[in-house]
Amino acid sequence: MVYRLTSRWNAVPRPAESAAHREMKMTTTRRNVLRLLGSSALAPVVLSVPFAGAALAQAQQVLTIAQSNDILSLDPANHGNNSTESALINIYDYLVRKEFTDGQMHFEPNLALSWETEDQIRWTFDLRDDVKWHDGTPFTAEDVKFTVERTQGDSSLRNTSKFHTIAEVNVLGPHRLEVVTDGRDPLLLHAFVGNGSLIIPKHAFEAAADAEAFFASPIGTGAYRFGRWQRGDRLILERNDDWWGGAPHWNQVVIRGIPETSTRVAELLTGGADIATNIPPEDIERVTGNGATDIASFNIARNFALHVRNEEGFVTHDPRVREAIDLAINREEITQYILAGYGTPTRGLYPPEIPGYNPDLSADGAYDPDRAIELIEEAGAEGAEIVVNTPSGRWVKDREVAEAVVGYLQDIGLNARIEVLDWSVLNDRLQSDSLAEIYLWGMGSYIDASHLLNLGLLERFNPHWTDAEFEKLSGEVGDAATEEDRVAILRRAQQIITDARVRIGILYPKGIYGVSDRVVFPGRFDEMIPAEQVRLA
Amino acid sequence: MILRALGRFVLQAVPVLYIVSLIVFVLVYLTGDPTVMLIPEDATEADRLRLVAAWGLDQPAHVQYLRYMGNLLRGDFGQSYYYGTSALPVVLERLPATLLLTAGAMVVAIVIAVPAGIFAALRRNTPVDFAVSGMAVLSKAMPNFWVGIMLILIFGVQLRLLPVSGAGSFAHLILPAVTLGTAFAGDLAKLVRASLLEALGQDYIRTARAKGIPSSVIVLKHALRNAAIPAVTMTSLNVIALLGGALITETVFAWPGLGQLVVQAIYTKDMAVIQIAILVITVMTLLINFITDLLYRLIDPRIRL
Repeated sequence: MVYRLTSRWNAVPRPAESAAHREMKMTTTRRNVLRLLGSSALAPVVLSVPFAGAALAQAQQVLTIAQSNDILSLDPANHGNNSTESALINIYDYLVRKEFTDGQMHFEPNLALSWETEDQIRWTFDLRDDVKWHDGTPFTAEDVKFTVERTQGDSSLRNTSKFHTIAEVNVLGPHRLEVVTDGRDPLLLHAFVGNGSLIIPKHAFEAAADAEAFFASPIGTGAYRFGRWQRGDRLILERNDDWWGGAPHWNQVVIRGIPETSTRVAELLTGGADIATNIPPEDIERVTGNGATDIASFNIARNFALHVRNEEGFVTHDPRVREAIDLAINREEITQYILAGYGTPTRGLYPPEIPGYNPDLSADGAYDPDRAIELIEEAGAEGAEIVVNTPSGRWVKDREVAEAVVGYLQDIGLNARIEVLDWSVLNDRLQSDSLAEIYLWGMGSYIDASHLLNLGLLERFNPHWTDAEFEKLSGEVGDAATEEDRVAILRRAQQIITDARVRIGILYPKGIYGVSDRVVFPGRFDEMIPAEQVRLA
Repeated sequence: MILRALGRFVLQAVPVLYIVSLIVFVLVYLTGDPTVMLIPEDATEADRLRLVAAWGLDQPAHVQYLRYMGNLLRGDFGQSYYYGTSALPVVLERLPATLLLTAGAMVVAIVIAVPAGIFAALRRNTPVDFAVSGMAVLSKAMPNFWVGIMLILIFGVQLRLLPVSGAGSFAHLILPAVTLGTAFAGDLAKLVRASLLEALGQDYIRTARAKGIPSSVIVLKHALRNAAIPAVTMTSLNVIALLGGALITETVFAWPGLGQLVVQAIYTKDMAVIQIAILVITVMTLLINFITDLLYRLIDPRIRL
């Protein structure tokens, strides 16, 4: 099997500028100009038309992104957080890029121009020879080897297992690299994208006193250089004119962490942010009714599912009760009324963009409350107490979805109630295996449906469920002869676990961003916001 | 005298800091394993255990504590699990924002409350007095969260006069300082009013009036000085509370202060950050108490330090 891809960076098309857009530019930037003036004691003296024009132009070249979470670290290998990764991808680069077009995920060249493998064990990468670190030093294969080995070798890093299938990395030349895995690994390319995969410079890291010293003012190969970081407030990046991908589109990128939703929305509405992530459905009208901002909604790698206990001692031990729970839930209604339609009802566990998703697990015909009542009666579980655990505010409308589920369970004769848990308590109880009969989980950030067949992960989320066929599939998936065979295994695995109803899919929530009319950004399936994919309208 | 007070302050601080650090260690330890909150979502139990071992969390509690204290004595305050870096700078870099917000809120509170309290006391049982009392109750009744969002909507979104959130300039400070300051101003105004009324009823004020001293001098120089001690006490208590972080206001305005950091650290059981933050807050509390004592002495020389 040979993979050879050579396409260039995808540019987001720049639509024609409308009168409304031009008006918005003036509205938002007037405030920025006032800010600039306000910061200068000499402002009244220097106020002139040319100055205002220059300030306007400069303000337009600043992209401000308001995220719902703070940035945790500038070390790509030491965080487990999408908001952090979304910021870091502007400083550092991945070896390969993951893009999502027409609902399909595919890899594109990035620092690696091309790659090939005959056996999915030995992989050869040809790297770009025109890439420089922000200090001017050329990027080489040694940097990739260093990044992999540093992450593998430091077990205190949170992403230390990112490259766990890699046995060795051999430098074949300044821009040629061989990666050897410890067995067939059809998913190796995934290891080079996502949390923990960004490439860091060997020379600069080794020259720094320690990791902390390096990451205090890091350098990468990305389109933007590190400028300043005020933890809890903002990260400021400056354009890198020597970027291998061409001239960056923004002079400056400001990435802010604003956890409070109403404040984030207010920043968007007043032009303080060009993109605001995670807009709750109830605020959508404020954003669309503003005249200068709009909503971008898009599929993301996340699903809501009920995780149901199956061991003895719980009423849900009876498969009929679990099936009744599955049949009792009106997924269409939940999606429509709680998420205002910003989601897709499903029984599945992986959205269509994820390789290996199972199209048979649709929500069609899944709602059958009459049959659910029959099953509850057959099981003799009328009035049985069932507690649904959920966090509140961790994922969009999580508590509300759990409340609706509780309502549906009450409708079929179960004595259901909700128990909202603080996120840290929920995690503690997950760890100590002391959650109630059902807990709602918004699983996400997966890259492939083989995620389900990771038995270590299964044990974390469904510790008492075992199935001989499922375990057999887990052992076979890595050795599938073709991609078709692999997908068939993954689909079967999803069918088994959803038939067992230890995981009951509810819906795929959509990503909802507020976007200023000043810029164009459609949103990405992986919830990253590369500044180079955001363009002035 | 000041030196003696300073000596007593240091003697008090050392055991207090030690006891606080021990209490924080025990409480955080009892809340469980931080790796549960910090591992990536797709991490397995084996991945988690690897982190537990790498961070030394598999050691018995007393070993972890002794290691922590040993490092502390060598000036190593430990690593933040959450931020993956030295914990000390993580905490210290939040201090300027917290101090600034506290100072700003106090200025707002004092500028509003002291004149309002004096005015209400001098116009006792008049509509002015009732208005001040009403405003004081109102300021207390309005939750910070609501006030903050209303200020954002009015001055940030509608009038576009001030930045909505963040830190970095004087303009950024105004809305959060007003939010916090007005909440405290109500209490302070009521206290100033009550203390001043009490002082104005004292014999020495009657004597001063009999001597023909102008009313303004009596109020501002004699009565207010004696009425100041309860107000200073209340202000210092509020300063201490704000130095510990004004979580809600910080969150609403995305203000990078200690409050957000401490709560985040508690959520993620980030032991080193919690320890340092609590120690810093304790030191500041002791300092504020010390300064308050000095102020007492300044206001009333009869008070001995």
